[in-house]
Amino acid sequence: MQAIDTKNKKSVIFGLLLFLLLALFVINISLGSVYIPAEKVLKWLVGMGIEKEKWHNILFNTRLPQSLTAAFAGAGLAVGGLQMQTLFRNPLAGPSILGISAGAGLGVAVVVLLMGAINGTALSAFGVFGSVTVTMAAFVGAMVILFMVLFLARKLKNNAMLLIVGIMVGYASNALVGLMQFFSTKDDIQAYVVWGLGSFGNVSWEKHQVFIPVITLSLLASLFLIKPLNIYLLGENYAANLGLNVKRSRLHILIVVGMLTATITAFCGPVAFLGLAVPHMTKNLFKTADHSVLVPAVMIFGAALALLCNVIARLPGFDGTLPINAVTSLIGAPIVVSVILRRRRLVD
Amino acid sequence: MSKSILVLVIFSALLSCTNSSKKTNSSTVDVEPDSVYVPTYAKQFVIKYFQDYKIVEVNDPWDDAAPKHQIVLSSSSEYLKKNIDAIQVPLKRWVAVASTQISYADKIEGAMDALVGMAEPQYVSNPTVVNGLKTGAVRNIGTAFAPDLELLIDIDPNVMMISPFKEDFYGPIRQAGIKLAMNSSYLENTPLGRVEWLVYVAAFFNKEQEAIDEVHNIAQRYNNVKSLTQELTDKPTVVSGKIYQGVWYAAAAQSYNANYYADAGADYIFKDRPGTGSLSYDFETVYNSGAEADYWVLLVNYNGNYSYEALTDEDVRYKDFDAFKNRKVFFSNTSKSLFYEKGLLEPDVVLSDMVKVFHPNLLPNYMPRYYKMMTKE
Repeated sequence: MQAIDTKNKKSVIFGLLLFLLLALFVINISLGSVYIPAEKVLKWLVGMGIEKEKWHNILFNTRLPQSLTAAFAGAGLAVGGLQMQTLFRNPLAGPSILGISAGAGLGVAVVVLLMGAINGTALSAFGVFGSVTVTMAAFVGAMVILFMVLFLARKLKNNAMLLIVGIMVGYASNALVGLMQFFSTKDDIQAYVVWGLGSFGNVSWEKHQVFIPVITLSLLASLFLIKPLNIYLLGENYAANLGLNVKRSRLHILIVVGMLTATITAFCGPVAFLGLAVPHMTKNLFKTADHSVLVPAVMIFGAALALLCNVIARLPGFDGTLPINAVTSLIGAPIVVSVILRRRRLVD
Repeated sequence: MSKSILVLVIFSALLSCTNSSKKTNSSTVDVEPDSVYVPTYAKQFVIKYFQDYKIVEVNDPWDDAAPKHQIVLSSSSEYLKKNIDAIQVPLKRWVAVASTQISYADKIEGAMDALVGMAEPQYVSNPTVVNGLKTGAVRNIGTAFAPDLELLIDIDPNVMMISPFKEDFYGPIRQAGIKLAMNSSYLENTPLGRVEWLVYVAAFFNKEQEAIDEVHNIAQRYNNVKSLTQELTDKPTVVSGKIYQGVWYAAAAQSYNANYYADAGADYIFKDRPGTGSLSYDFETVYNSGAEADYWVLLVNYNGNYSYEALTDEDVRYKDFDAFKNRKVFFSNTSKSLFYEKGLLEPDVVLSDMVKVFHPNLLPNYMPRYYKMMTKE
């Protein structure tokens, strides 16, 4: 009887989360620095059109792709974070723990900083910035690090070792970036810093033709990892005893999380905190460790939270946008602290 | 115990030293100057002339209420003996950190011959610098904000001209006894204001009068071009800048570039948004205000010929602007046009380029040099 109750309760929470996601999506489309009446936006959303061509362009070319980016990136980072936390049995793990986003940063630094210093022309003022070149550089950098981590994962048996290697790779990348910054001009450094602040606004429809399929595929792949993730909860030795090929499923998890992190970082910059915070909040909400619930739940929750951050970053009455990382961290940090405090109280 | 007392004594001795040196500085300032050069267009500096020396005062770049930065220049060997902080002019050896400083120096007799060090020389096209680096007459001192201190001490310049930085990177250099002079010309928000910093640089070579004459000539040429457009009632609208990592940087109403648009007889879409720097807006804000603008002006740094295709590659949404549809985009490719290096002291030419765009019939046979219409598809 109680089992059915909790199951019902979970479906209700799922329903609420989905509704929240939808509502935040609509709010994201409706609000922006240019005022467009809400009813017109809603009519446009259901396909009834809008009278001003300018409004259509703003909604279709600016707000819609940005909202989709936020939703997909949020879902991807959250599910990546969950998998890392489970795999490494470490509540502080996130998708960036493997050093992959640091690798993306290194790729961007090579394009923005190093080429500027060698060529003699500051790339920051270049047209290419914010477009394909930087995205490609970030992706290549991230993939190089991912392959390094995967290679080491085959050699290393112990997850803790892998974790340390990931963190060290991150340090090394950051050191190289620092070195390049030292020899770069103010403008180039500024360009790099701006990239590092993250943004959901740089993914145009053209880029979405890559972004959405890759993320969707990785999200779907995550659903197939639910079983090994659940077994991992018992610890590696138990998992092996239960017949799980530990090394192989670890490789699968790393590939999926790596693809998610590499792609999202390449297109949006290193978005902080969502991947770390959302799994904690979701676990707290559902009071379960079962990944068949958690994996879909963190995706929805992550997407919703990213959309919330995105709308806060573009608060109406403010012509510019705040850097997305400032918002995610400012919102995420207190929530995680409160979640942890509350959990402690339950334990005590 | 005794050690800590020793440290204290040394420390207080050091403190009293710095205090006394400040006192000698201020005593020279109390005297009334014989004459003062107050710039006509520039707002960030003045030069005060005294019997044996002159004081150049530069505003604090970020705080108008803060005390002004003072540099004492002198040609009198007696005065220099008594005031070790004073800088000997005309400079025999000096170090530059920015290509714009070279642009000024190039107009002043003797200034380029005295250059012995340059930061980030890869951004400088001036032949004296390029050749000097080859022969060793000009040394590469590294980056502007972290120069090679040992090399600087070895070069031993009379002065190192610096750009204002919010963080004081120059403490160790000052400690090493190298005298610094702040050139904050880029904080001037008008084209002629920036030109007038020529007088500031000239003060280090005792060539102020020549510089003032030159500034006067440039200003006259500039104002002649400007007067062509000021009576016009039909002014085309213009939008500026573009997206860069999700943020559209446009010139603020009183900025250097917006002053050019106004003087060239254009109606800038953000002329009501105050500021002397740049505005950072999101795409929809600029699109909403600028979609119907007649012209679109860009300052880019692009390898190759900048084109409409290159613009669309950066962001497809640019296609929705009328100025794009009607092929009314004009730009300066700074890597080729040397807008920042040479345009700095040719504002009349830059302005004529823009007048040619906005009001082609006013300058029918004029060939633009810095800004031109985008012709490549």
